[in-house]
Amino acid sequence: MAIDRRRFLLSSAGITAASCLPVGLSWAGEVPVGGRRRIFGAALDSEGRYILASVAAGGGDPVIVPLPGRGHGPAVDPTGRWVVMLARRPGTFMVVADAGTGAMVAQHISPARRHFFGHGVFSPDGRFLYTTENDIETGKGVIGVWDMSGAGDRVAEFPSYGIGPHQLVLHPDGETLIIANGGIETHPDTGRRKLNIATMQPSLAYVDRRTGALAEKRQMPDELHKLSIRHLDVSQDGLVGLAFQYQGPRTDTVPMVGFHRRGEDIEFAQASANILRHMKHYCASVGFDRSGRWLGVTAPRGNIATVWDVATRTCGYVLGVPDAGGVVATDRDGAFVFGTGTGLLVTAEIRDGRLTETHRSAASGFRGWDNHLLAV
Amino acid sequence: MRARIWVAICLVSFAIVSATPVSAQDAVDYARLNKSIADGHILPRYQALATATRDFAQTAEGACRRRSAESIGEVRGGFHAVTDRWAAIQHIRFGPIEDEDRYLRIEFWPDKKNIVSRHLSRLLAAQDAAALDPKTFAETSVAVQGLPALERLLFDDDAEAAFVAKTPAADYRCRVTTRIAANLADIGADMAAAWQPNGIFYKIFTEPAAENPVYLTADEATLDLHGALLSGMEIVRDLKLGRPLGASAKRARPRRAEFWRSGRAVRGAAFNLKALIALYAGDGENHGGFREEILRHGGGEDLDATVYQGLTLAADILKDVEPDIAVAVKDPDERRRLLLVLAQLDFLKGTIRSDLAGILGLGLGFNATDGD
Repeated sequence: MAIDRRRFLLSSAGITAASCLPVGLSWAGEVPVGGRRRIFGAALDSEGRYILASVAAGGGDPVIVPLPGRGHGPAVDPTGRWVVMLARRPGTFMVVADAGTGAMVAQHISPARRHFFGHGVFSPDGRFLYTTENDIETGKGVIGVWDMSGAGDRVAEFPSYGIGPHQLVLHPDGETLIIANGGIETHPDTGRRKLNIATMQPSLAYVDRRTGALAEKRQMPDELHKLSIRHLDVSQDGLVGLAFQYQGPRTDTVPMVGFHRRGEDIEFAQASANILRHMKHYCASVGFDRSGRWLGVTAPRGNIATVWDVATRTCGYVLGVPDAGGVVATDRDGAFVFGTGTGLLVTAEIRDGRLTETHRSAASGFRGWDNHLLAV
Repeated sequence: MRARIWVAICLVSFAIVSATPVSAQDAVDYARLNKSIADGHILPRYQALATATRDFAQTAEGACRRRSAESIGEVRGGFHAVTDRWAAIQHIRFGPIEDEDRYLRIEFWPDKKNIVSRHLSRLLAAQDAAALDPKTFAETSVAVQGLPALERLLFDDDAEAAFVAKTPAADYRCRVTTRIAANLADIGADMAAAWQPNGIFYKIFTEPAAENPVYLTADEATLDLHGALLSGMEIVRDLKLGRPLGASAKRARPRRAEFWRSGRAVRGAAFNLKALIALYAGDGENHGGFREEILRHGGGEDLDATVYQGLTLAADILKDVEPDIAVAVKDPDERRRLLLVLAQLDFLKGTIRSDLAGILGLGLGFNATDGD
């Protein structure tokens, strides 16, 4: 095995596991995402019900839309009018909300023999929505195409060119979908159980959104075939940031973040063994900052948020954030808002060589933010 | 393309948030709990599996020399002994079991595409002696290395005829059986060794530290034990009983059951439940399991009654279920019993997930446990 399980012992990076988070939460404070109106995310309300929640940047109580089940990833159309919330796998609903008010305007369900994987992305003109889905019978990944200009008709579908497609984003060329095929086969009959860990083969696929043709596909190297590519973001200049989830033994030391550019190999980012260990083989969300120089990655099992230096492809900063899930960029360079499963929105930015928490707010009326956030 | 795994020194300091008990009780002694379960539950069960697999390898070796109708009976008995011991420790899915695909090499299941049969047929057809070299075999398809492949070799309709036949094909088939058995014995021995008090994983599990590769704090190891209890129940409920049961007698699918060929689907689930009760309530007098810790906390008695009685009730109902799963999933009375077991486990799942985790102060984060 290429991964040396003993190497970690050689590394003794200076991690101080001493101080804890500052205490004292402010209720329903302002959410400092300058230039944005509202933050959206799937959430859990105080009664344990699944909701689509949104908080206005200026503060105030969150707007809540009850969901038929647990939601996962939000998507916004380029005009900023509509936000779509997709069901977490193996869910079948899609809820459309008004991005200005947070109110629900429509609901759709996935076609027969398909379920959602929880993520979608709009075409640049806002007309089409592309969703990652499972072909339940074959276990193959599918991209569903929905015409959102009218009644939200399902108009086409094409392969994702892999098993278990999860998040997808649109390349800045406006024409190419970039799809993270997690590689893990699941079936609704067996809930969320993973059926093919021994043979899984995650991949990154670039697909023409008009023709469904495969433009480029990158697989994980053999020795990392259990390193699932789940989440990704793309910068203005087409650099793709990748966040992984490892399905192998927990004693392995494996990369947690990678980068990719069209025509090149997947490049794994560096971090100390200590940081990798704290990430606990599991990233929840990934997002570039406004400048594209920094990549934010959350690791809820380790209760940390990390920021990676795009120029050096290394982990630059780590901040303790409890049950960190969603990440969105703010209008400042090197600054992010992280959502937590405990109901916080934590704003942090790189300042004087540290990732510093600059603000936190706790919205009333619900228990926690789910994996992903979206700022509109 | 080669992976570049970087383990560089990156000097960053950050704060670690660790879970604290949600109720203001006496502190939970995670380290003691982990050690008692490792010593009293996990290690003896892996040792029993190691012994059973070793004995079985010898039985198979001897029986294959004789190849009589009686000797296939001995091998079948050995298969049951090993599979019982496996079902008694199957709920532990962390530690050495995660290494080298051991879980799947022991039991590749569920197998909805019948990969086991396909790969096994290919192996048997090739009659390639080199494929049975110990090292080669340990790296071949996981589907042919484990108990499901053995079960086909020993319990398929033609198994007995193929066992006693004096042909090169039958000879090779028996060598495959002995190789699987010997390979399982190797896996069993390696796992028991890793859980010995001086073994590699025992140290990792019982000595959490900043430089520990898996557990920074003791509560993280307890979280894995809690996860074993929870997912052990889910597997019995969803996969082992729920899937074959189906929505109605008409839609029952007995061949979705585990080890239906050898008629041990219900028995396997019963062994699993018994093991989960032991993980919760303790194995023998010196090892308390979760229960001892739970009873030290306010409200612990009620919770203990719910969990212990609930698990025991599920196991008791299952004892009365017809052992032949093909009959059990079709007969209305048997179905009713199975549904009761499922309902009981379903109810307990919520209690174990929230109340048991709560009293133990295990932070089951919304995002941390999501898996998406």
